[in-house]
Amino acid sequence: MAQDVKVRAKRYEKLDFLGEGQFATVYKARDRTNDTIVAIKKIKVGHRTEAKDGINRTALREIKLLQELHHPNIIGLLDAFGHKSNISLVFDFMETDLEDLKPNNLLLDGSGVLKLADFGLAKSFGSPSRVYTHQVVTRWYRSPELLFGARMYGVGVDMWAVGCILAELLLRIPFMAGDSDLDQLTKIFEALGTPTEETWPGMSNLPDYVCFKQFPGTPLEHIFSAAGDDLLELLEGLFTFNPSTRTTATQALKSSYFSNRPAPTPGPQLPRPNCPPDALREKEAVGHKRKIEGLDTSEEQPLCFCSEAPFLQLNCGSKCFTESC
Amino acid sequence: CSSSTCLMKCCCSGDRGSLVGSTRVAYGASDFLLSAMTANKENLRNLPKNSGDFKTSAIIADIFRITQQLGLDPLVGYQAVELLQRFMVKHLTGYLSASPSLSDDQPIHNEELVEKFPLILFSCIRLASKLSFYSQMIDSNVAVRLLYSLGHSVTKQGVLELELMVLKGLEFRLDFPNPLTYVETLLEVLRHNEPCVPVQLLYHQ
Repeated sequence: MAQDVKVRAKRYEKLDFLGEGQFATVYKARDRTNDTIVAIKKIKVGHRTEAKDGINRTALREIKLLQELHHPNIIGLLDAFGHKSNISLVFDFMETDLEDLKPNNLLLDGSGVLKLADFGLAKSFGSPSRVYTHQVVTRWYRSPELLFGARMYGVGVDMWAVGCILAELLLRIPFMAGDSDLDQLTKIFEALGTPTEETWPGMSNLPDYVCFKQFPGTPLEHIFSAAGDDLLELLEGLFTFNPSTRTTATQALKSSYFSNRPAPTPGPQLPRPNCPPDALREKEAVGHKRKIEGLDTSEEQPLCFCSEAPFLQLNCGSKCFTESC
Repeated sequence: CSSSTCLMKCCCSGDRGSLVGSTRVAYGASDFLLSAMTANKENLRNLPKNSGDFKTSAIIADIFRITQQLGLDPLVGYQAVELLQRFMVKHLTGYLSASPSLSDDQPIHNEELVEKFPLILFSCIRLASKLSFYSQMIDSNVAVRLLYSLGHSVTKQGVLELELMVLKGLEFRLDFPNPLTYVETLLEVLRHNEPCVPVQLLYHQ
């Protein structure tokens, strides 16, 4: 075992520090056995919660889920090893920054292939579904049923998050950025109109339901003024209040937006970031800061490669939205 | 294998609408069951010959007694049984290959292992409790107290080290299916997965 650890430690040559989160530090490293570049996520030890709960739960769940999932669009867990009380996870290395669906967890590899990452909160199909916690998914991407405290929910919560990500790609800033759960609901209803028992049967029976002012909502074509009818139709389906009639992944993929011209740019031909990931992160941080301070962010382009992407030739975005609300 | 084949049949008939109203659920379930069946066949093919030796009724009863005492979900117990089985087989295989003088049929007398076994069993429960989405975790203080009540004096650091030892012994592999993986899917297909029904009632009857 001791020898194994030494072999493992020698296998990866640390190249660069990539970032630090609450529970882990991420390094760029070279795998000497096949000369590939990998990302090593080293779970922090000596953390307060570690003394209380032992090995970090999120790390364990992430290991388990990633071992079960093998898909070209899901980040690959290549290896896991431990030394003393450290745990290190070895992942595919992604050019963009490293269970929930939000732009920060969507990575692009060197060939422009999209990969989902961060499965600490993910839940597998077939695992018990009786009592879910509703505090999943980062608030801005949280569906109205989660915000109203639903304990039983389905894949619809992910489709709502997908809608928010699609909207964010169009606007280049988060679509509905609430600073509390109530504020989040207000932002959603201001933009999309307050739902009623007719449009969303069962809404008022949800555990944390509160009656909201009747906002008329803003037509999506005013918010996303450069989006075509096919894209608006897709957004409309994803932002359906009633989770049981919300567009499913299968329905979304069959929507005309994905078959109409122009076809998507092949991965390897996507414009590449023209600045290193560190600078991108800094730029992004500045973007968010400005937004919080209420300054105009319509000129902000948080990710360099977005500015040239074919479907993002939109110039009004956030400005229209802010004005109409 | 036979249980998953049976589930596949249920599920497929569900797909045709005889069991399930919602084809969406059945569609996802049949995909899931198909891959679960393939994985299960693969597991059975590669099973070590002493597999199952650590699934005795006494060991399983001990595991469920502890999960019950700690108020953990029954799912944790089922997963812990799988983890313990896997860990012990790997551990003993390693031990035997490192001691060539021992023959396969000879009973192993390893005092250290005998003494450590309850601690390993507990670590499997603790690891399993973290893999479940909504089960509560076992606080280190609770762990130390419980082990003390069973006659083992271990520090919090010791508890963490044991947990790491088991995790490393499992070579970080945690994705073992347990019987409930299939039960849950069947309940979903039959639309019996109601939030108001207590878990114990569904699993243990």
